[in-house]
Amino acid sequence: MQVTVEETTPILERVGRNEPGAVDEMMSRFGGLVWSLARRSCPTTAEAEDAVQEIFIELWKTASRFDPSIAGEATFVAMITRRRLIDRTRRRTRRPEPVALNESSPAPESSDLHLEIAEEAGIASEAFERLRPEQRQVLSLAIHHGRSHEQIAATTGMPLGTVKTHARRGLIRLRQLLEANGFGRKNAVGAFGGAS
Amino acid sequence: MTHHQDDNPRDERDDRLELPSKELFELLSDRALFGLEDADTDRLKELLRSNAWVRGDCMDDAVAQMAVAFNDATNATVDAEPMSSIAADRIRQAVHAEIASETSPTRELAGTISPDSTSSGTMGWLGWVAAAAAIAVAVMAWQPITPTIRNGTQLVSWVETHPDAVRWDWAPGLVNPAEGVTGYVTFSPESQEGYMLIKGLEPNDPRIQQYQLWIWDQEREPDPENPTPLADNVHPVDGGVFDVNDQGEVVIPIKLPLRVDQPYLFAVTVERPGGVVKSEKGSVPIIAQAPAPDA
Repeated sequence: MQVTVEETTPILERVGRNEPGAVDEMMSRFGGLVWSLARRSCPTTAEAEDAVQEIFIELWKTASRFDPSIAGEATFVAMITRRRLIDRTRRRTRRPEPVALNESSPAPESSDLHLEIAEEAGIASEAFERLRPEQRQVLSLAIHHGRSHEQIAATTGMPLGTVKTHARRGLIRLRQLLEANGFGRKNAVGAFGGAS
Repeated sequence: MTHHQDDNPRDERDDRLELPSKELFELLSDRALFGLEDADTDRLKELLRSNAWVRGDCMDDAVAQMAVAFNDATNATVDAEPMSSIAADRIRQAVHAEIASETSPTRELAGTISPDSTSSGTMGWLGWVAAAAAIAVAVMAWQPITPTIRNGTQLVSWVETHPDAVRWDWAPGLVNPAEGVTGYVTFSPESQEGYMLIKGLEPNDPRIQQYQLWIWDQEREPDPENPTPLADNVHPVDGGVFDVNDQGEVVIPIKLPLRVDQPYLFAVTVERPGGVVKSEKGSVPIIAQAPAPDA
């Protein structure tokens, strides 16, 4: 049995309680993840750095809302990170160029954190593989590369409406599959169980 | 609540489903993947209110988990390019400063960066500078409290009482230089206080962009005897964001998050609201530096 980080070191809970040193530890442990996501979404290193700062402040403010029964710490961090990055991307409307794909990665995280991430990543990867190829393609471009509807349409040659359909159906299906694997059970189950 | 998921014969069955709240889940998906326009955001709120059994971030966390998975897979296959330690330190300081500003009882005092500063609620340097000021209040308690300087006359008096202060006139900058700007910047390394007097700089709309001050410190140079402000490994100290209105003359206090002992160049850049961590220097309307020895 794998021991996840949150079972032994609930760092977000400690951040939420304003414990001394907790913020530094959070930044140390999740800095690589946040940096990597920001770097993929932001067109320049400077903007990525600015985003990272903004994201960690947001994490400090929201850490008390972390609920381990819904998702792991890495997922919570990634969720807050993505929201901020999407906000920033939408504010950047005057920049017509697609976000440059940069396959660079952050510094390696601690081995404990990697256990947690690997566990969460494994569940997600399995679910992702069960989606249709076109859904995988669209979701990969949206989630991994931070592409907009329009950019995905331009990249793949799909009509915009088709992109939206694949994105929505793919994500809804992904959510169902994750839920079936025990992810995010709290409150979200009814979201799909109600379908008939 | 009734669950029919077990009735699904195949994984792809949902592609043909008409969910009772299809619009809701589409909007949740759109928001999680791409963000929403204001009108869609309002519609989503409305739908969530009438479907209280749906967790509003149920799509966000699915996307987040997928993002973690993608990131993990990429880490395993490509070389790492970590954030520079300098940037990491800078961000760490800024985050702590922001937290201090949120929790410090001196927050209101420290938040008064400039009489003209009208932006609020933006994340980043505005709060960071305010927080840095809060820390300075706490750490440098021995320092006498200087009355607020609001005009050029008061600033002249301040300069006279700070003999160690540099006082350099503004000059047209390096990129998109602003002509006709007068005034000066003055800074006391001893007290770590400083002010900008600016006349003639184009007023800004703080909702769109703000001015940001940067200070190059010779002691932070890799080679202090041979300062190279434009080198990649030189990082000026952020002097905070500020606004210029159409009143003609503004006096703006400099609030530093870091100590500056040997300033040799001040530059004002134009940045997005709240400022940036590292400027691209796309617009540098004015600078101030020590006069040439034979000047």
